[in-house]
Amino acid sequence: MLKLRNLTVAYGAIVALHGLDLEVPMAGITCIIGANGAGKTSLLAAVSGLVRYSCDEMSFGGKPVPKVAYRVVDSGIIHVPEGRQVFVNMSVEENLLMGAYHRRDVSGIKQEIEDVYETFPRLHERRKQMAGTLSGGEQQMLALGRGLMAAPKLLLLDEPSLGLAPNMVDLVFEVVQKIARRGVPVLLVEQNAAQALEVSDKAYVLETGRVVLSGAGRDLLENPRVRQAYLGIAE
Amino acid sequence: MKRKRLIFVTLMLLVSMLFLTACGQTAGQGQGGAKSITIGELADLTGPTAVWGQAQDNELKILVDKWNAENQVKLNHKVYDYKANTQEAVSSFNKLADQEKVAVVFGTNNSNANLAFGPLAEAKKVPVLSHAIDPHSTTPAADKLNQYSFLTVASNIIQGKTMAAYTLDKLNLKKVGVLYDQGNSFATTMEQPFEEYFTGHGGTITAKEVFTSNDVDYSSQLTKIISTNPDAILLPNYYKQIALAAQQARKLGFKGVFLGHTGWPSQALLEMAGKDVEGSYFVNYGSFEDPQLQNLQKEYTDKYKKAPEINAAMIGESFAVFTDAVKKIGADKLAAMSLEQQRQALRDAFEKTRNVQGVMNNITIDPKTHRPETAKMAIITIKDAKFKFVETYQVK
Amino acid sequence: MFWQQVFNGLSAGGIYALIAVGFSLIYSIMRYINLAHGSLIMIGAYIGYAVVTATNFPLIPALLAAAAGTAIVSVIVERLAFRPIRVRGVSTLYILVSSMVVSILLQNLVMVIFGPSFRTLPQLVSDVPVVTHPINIARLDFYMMIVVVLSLVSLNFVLYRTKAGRAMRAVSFNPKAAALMGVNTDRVVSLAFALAGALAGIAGIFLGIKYSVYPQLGELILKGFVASVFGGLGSVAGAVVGGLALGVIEVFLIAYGSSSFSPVMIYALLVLILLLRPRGILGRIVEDKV
Repeated sequence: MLKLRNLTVAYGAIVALHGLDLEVPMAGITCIIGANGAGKTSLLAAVSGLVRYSCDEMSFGGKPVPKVAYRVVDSGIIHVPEGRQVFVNMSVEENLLMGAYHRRDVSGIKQEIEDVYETFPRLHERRKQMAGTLSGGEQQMLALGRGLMAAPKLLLLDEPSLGLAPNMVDLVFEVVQKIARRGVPVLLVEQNAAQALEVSDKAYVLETGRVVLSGAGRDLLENPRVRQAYLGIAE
Repeated sequence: MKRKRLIFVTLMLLVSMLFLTACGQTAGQGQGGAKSITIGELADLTGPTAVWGQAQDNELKILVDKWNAENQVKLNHKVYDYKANTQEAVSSFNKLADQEKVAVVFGTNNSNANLAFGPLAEAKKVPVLSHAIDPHSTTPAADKLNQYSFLTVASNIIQGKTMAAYTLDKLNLKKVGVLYDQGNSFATTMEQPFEEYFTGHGGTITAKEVFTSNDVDYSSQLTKIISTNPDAILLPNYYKQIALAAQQARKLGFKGVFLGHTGWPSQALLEMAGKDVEGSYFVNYGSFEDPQLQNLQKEYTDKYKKAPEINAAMIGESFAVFTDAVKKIGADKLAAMSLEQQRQALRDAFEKTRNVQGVMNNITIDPKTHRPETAKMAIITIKDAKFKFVETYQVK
Repeated sequence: MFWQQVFNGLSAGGIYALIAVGFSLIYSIMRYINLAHGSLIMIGAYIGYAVVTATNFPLIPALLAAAAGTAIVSVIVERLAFRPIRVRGVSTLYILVSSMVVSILLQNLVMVIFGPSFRTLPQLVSDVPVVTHPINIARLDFYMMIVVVLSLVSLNFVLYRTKAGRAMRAVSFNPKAAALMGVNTDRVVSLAFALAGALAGIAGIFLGIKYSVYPQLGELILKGFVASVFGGLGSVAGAVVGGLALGVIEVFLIAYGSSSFSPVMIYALLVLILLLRPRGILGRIVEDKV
């Protein structure tokens, strides 16, 4: 499991995370919900080595997580960043190949790309197209597929449903569940709290850089505080 | 506290130094009370043209020593290194004029430097004897004369005419193409009189092409020139540009002669393009193969254990003009004058320079232009990748 | 004369392209202008000069030596002068200034070691032209064009057909995302500088043979810069097209216009192109990174 103890992230004088404790089990979906600026993205960025942080412990499967982004990838933690961030001037296939950058097993990569095309038939249709010409939903598929190409042991997803049409949002949640069922644990950061909690086995609520609530996804859905603050349901 | 005292002491020192210099020497009295005249010199001693500047300075030292050995009134020689840099030339000129209080400034051979401090010489009324090639250093505009600036050697006007006349009369070449740097007065002020004389005496300029200083490829211009079938191509440029142009012209199949002026005499030209410039002709101020310069060459080589550059002969011309003026005024009389009087007297005398025998030429300075209007020049050719003196030549 | 001028233009343009490509490569990946690129070309010329005078190598080994040597210098320059600034994430303006300082430093270093004078490379290529009719093709220009084409083809191969090239392009589009794929961006940047350095070394030798070796040789980069803006800053293909176009246009302005106005015309044309098509002939629109 991914274990964080006393994780603190600060940008100059602004503290984004105040000594956070968090555990992500090696199966199922764990989600983090919270308002804008609660520190969700900083949390993922810290784990994947994009920002500097201090902590008492950050381990994955018992081993400390490296502090540099490209080494984190080798430990199997793969971060699919917010806003897709596909390589717009490269073809769909090249984007997927970039996902497998750290892998050396040529035949494994070949197999992986077939699997991704099976999961996302749309990407197969457009494999020669420049990624920049895809729709927002297709780009999100590509970003997810690119993450899967890395053969992740833990997938960090940052707002995968952001800015997508409703039917696309449903599709994304379906795919995320599919990934988890295939045995890849997912740490999901979402603003879309209702749907996220629905699919999650475990959930954390973040407020101004601190964990204020945690529990099973379904339990949190019933929690009055969560219902009021994140689901917009007045009691 | 300590720091404050230090500043105080420093200030006091500065003030007292100013005081001392202010009530220092009157013009005619140098060290030890002996009568003297202070002369200034600007030379590039450490810059890119140091080879020339050192030759100038070395020779001037010989001339000053000789004078001081033979005369009661001594010459007090101050030299400043301007590093072939225009700004440096201006500040060095100011130091010579204001701090060293010189009666005359010798130098430079760098037209840009002379053009830069020319107006200062006017303002401070300090006469200058220089070897710049650009006629604008004494006549900045058609109807304007720098009262205090003088050229003692052939300007580009003479060089252009000489080369044009030699090409027509001695080389018997009537069709010439021209390639030069349009942004450099070193080239433009030679090309113009060349063209005027050449076309005025039966020659034809078949093509005239230009480039800018930073260009290194002239293939296009040369292709155009060569297509007009000239007998010769005039390259009145710096040696590097000459070398590149000659190489490129040969590559394009040009078989004729190259012509040029004082940008040519450089060992680097022969190293870069020795066989491409074979058979070329150019004018120079003089040549050490000329028997007239044997004396100077011997003295110089004896003292410095190396061969002089032509700049040693050029400073010789200026010194001849200077000594002629001093003798006309009277050395004792001159040394007794105030600094302002010295400068004025020298300037007036320089303007009246008539038939003064210099190292290379019999010098007459035209009072309307402050430079010689005619001069004997050396014609040099390149044979077996070496410079070879042909003859001296003077336009009629 | 027409075809001779076309050849003159392509021969000059080939050199511009070689300069522009190295320049564009760095710009496309790093989004900053490496003003030291000209000095690297000059270093390449001096390395070539030193190697050839010391060992009497023929052209091809001399080219390889200059390419390798300049690649190393280029990587060192990036490590010492650019990386510390890049890591701190401050404005690329600082890198611009730093590259200018490096440029002056390298020039002065060479001045101290070799002196300010012009040096000539021993004759590596015979004087006998390849053909004289209908146009005159000098052997050096002929070889140079072959080498330029070969270098540009191999650069293209590296960029589009290898994993390292793909990583390089990925870093150029989005360094953060590339890092999340496991790309060591520092190493990719070093590789890009090595490639740009190798191209600079090759350009340096040819410039050295054609125009002699001197500390200010790198100032020729101005034309390469114009060529890369012409073709679209940051586009490698654009740099090639821009270089060749610049060479040919320049020659034709001189040949059929006037040599005194051609420098003005060239820059006027550049301004015109930038007004009509700010991204150059083949450039892509540079997005702001979030």
